[in-house]
Amino acid sequence: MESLPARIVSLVLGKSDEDFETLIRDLFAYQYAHNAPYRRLCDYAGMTPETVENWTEVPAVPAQAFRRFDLSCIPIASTAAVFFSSGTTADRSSKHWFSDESLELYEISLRTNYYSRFSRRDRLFAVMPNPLDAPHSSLSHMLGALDAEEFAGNDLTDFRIRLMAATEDSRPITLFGTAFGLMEMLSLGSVQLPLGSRVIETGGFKGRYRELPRDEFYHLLRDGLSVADSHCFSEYGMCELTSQFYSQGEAGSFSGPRWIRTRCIDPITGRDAKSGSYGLLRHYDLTNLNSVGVLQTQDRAVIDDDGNFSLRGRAADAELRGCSLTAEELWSRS
Amino acid sequence: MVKVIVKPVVADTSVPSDMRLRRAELLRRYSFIKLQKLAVETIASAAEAWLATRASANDDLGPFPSSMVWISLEPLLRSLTERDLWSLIDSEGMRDISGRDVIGHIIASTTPLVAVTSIIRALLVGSGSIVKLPGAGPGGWLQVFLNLLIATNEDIASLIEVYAWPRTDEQRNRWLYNSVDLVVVYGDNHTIASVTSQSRVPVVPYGHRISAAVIPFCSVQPEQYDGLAMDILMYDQGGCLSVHTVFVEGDLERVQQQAQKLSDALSRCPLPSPAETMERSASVNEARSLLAMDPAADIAATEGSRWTVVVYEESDLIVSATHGIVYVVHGSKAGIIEVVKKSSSRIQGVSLACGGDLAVENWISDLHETGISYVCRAGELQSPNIHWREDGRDLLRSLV
Repeated sequence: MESLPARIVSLVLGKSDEDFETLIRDLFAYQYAHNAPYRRLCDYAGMTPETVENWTEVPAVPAQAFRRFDLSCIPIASTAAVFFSSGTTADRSSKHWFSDESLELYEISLRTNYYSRFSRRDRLFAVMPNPLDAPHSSLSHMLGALDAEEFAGNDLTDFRIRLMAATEDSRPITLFGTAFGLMEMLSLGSVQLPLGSRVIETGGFKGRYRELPRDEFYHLLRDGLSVADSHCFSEYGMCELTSQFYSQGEAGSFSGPRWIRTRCIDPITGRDAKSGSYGLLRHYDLTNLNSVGVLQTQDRAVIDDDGNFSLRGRAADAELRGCSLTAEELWSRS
Repeated sequence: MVKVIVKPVVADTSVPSDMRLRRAELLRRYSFIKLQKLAVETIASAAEAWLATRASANDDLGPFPSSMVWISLEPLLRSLTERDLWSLIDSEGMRDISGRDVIGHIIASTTPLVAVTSIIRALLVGSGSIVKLPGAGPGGWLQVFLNLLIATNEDIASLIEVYAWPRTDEQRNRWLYNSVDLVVVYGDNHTIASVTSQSRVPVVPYGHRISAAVIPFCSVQPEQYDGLAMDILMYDQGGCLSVHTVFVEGDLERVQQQAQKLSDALSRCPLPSPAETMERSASVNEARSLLAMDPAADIAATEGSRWTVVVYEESDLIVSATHGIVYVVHGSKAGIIEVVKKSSSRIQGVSLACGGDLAVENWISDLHETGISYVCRAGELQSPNIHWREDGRDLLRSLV
């Protein structure tokens, strides 16, 4: 029998058709055995690998738990990498610890997911810090793993010049950046990207800078970069989650890869929100190998029958968090 | 006839309030001695009328039901007799002594009676008041009080203007600072820091505090647990006099017993339950999950999103993460006193659940020595009277 990480890799690469439910329950059993804070939560909830009968019963940790506890199935001293969130109000960031195996799985899965949606032929430009300058930013690491050609670093003016030079080549460009970074760059002037180019924004504005409604932001992207709405994408990801979701166009909903499932939970009942009603997103991510596979967020959303969701803000008490701040903080220091 | 005093916005921020002129006009008509006497008589009469009519704000106007607010309001009103008010004035040596001409009151607190007591203190030193409530502030109860003042004496009522605007409205904030001689601010550290940095006049800050309770090593009657439950659940644990940590004198076995009895009392507490909302449930669910993961915490009992009793290993003052979470910790008497003393700048009040009078007296004495300004029996924490020296300071003298 293959090891659990190998079985998940096989699923990610499409080399196995093992069912999600078996894998998430095996992942739960592994994490229950090796992750002490998570085990305490499961014991409190009365949910153990022996009692869980359905994948939906696997207990979820709140995203905030990554801030309070070291959620790792191996000793911290043996981990291979850690990524930090960028908090806006709390003094401690989330920490997501990766083992060698889980880091490899992260990179395999992010590439598989990305290239199932976006062309390998496009040149990739990242409006965010270089992974060498931000070694604990999961977003920068991801763009590094995708072999991004250029990073903005902390000099958007220079980055924009490099981007404009790249437009002289007719090869399409994918511009992947935080909402804050993209807006800052566009405040320096528009850039006409080659035909067929795409823009992928992530992270939102996090309440730290001037905020734009989504329709105005997409309007800014379309006009400022000369890309059609169908070529504007949003990425939904977070430090605590290994997998990413993408949406297409201003009105698009987020969809994830086959190794993650998402439910919309009504926190009052603890059950799935009624059809068409909003709830809070709960993700079941097979690639969260070394931490906890099931994550309860404070992100409000409406979900459709296919598991695709549209965000509707965050629960009132929730902190504003996310990757966009890392870039803002970096630039604010420049 | 004085018109409605609670105004939604300041119409013209380019012109300072005419409160200073109005007060000067009153001082021309009355001497200060007469004005102070008139203020005392007016407040006492209005309080008496309020008690007689039991006039309530419309429940829709505030976040808390009338039945809850009256638990705090009634003892306050009963302490607003002429004799009590002169006693307060004399205790601070403020008879015939005027406060600043115009005092600004910035109320960022959600508890409904803060503005009422702040205005009363300003009236007792003959000052005019300009009150800024939050954008969706607790204006209803204040309006009832102002209506009673207007009905009793319009001249005294004319010393008060009340407005509501969001704290981010810098134009109106500046108008306030330009219209007053001193600012009294109630709110969190961020609000106080913001006001202190912007105001050009002296600031009297009442910052964020929480309260605690003590269960001494003595027999405790069921009604005392009921009192503790009230101290915890009043105002959805959102006031500075709300209990976040219960200190139990004794060992771990006793703390677990006391946590169970407290949980029973919370279950039967007659206070209305707050509405279950998605935000509230999400916040409570998250806090409980984090507690469940914490090896030092043992969740003893819960009820919906209303309350959570947590036995915690560390004997320290612990702030509730969200609605109705109360920590029960244990220690020796000396240890508890030490913790309270160490945290006294963060503690507003302490309530005591104990059947023995002598034990209570000893604890009250010891707790007062730690610097806590308000120590009372369980169930009385949310009902201070006008004599309570909030934050342990001279309430009237600080307005001079």
